[in-house]
Amino acid sequence: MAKTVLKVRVFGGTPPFSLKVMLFKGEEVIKNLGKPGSFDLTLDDLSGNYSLLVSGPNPLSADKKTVISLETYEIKLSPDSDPNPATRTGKAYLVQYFFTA
Amino acid sequence: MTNKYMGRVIAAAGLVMLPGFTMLAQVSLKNIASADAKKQSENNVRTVNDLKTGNWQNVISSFLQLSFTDLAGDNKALNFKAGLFALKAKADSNLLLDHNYVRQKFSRNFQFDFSLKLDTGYHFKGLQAGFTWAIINKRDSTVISFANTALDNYYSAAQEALQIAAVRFRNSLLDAGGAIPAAKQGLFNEVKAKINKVLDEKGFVAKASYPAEFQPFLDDSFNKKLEIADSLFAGELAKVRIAPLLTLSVNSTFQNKDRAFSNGAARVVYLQGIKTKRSKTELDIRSSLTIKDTLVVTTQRRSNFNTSAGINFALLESGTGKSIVEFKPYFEYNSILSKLYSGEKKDVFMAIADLRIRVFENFWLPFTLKYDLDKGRFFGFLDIEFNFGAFKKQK
Repeated sequence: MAKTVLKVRVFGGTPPFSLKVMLFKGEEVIKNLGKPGSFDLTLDDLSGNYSLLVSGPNPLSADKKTVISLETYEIKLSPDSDPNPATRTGKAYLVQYFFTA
Repeated sequence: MTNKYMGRVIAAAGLVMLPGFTMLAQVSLKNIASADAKKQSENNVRTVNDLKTGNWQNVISSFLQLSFTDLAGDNKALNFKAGLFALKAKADSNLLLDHNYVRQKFSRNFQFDFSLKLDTGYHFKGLQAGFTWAIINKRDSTVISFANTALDNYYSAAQEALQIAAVRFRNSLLDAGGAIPAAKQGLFNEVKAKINKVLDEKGFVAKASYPAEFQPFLDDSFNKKLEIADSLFAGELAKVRIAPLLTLSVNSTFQNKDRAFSNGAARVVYLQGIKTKRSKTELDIRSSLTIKDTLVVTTQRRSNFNTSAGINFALLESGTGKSIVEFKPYFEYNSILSKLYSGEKKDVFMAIADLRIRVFENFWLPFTLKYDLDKGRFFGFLDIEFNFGAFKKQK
């Protein structure tokens, strides 16, 4: 069984509302979490194909930025995934990772 | 800003003591926080800075300001203003991380400034230095969080619907082997790029803003969830915008000629929004104590107390909620506490009206009209303010 760690770092203030993290296997929701700010999330016991999506608002500041990264030591990202790490500086974002464990 | 204002008053005393209406031009260049101007319907994640009035912008700002004043006159000045946090973050970018950012409350609310005074030949004439501390600042939108509130629940549900739609859309393109075939890769990339662009520029917005190919995958209740969340969010932002702001500014000036203290000033500003239907009205109270060396026969140290109270109205707003025309009528009381000049009145009451017009996004044209209640004289001023934020890449 493989594992990976998702890291989300928010810069320039606090997000005005929660970030959303969802892990799917096919269309089945494996994890569904809300987070108020920066966090690390370990995903273990992984086997098969997954979709990991992270969305949220950036802080209400000029220096707003969110950096999302996923450890790939034990998983393989699909080429149609977003860049890893992904940096988002707009008002809101949706980052999509597709991987095989 | 205190000294700029005082400089204006001093200039008025020397140059514009004529009955009637006279204009004095002054150019100041300012860099003030700003955000995108987008239509409200397209822009649901809005900052409080979006809604700042010019009156508020001039009290405290969190960015670097550089200004040149009185370029054509005898009192040229190069002014620099910086937030303590902005400088600390330049040295240690980790301070920008949310967990660290919230702990930097003092730094985020403290700014210092200095001004280099030059004569007509651009020779060093003096130095002015000071600070502004926002003792109470309930308007800092960068640290507001509505996590785990009703508002958050609606946004969370909307985000969940968006993520499920994104997964379903991709799954609809997969072949039997679980990969997106080459023929459909272009469509996937294009739709994903469009979604990213919408979120980046507008935030979480209604279904119609997303690509047509993606819309059928979005839950029918998506718009409703967003509508409720946006409505609650707008209400919370409105509360933040009218929250109290209390600042203390202290500064002093040193003259090169005497190599000594020349003057000092302390100023307190209190702004409190007044809840109205339009919610763009603000109580504005300011007081200052000034100590200034003057040379008549011998050097004397004069002290002066000034206080004003008025209400700032946003008369006209753009579709985005930004004020375009502001009007601030107020009363000002000025008292010379020591070293009164011969023939000078100790106490002066003025009725003043500031009219401020936003010409461009970051370009204000303020007019000040003063009326001396005792002497029955008018004084008029024209300022031009430009915000360097216009050059900042905005998201």
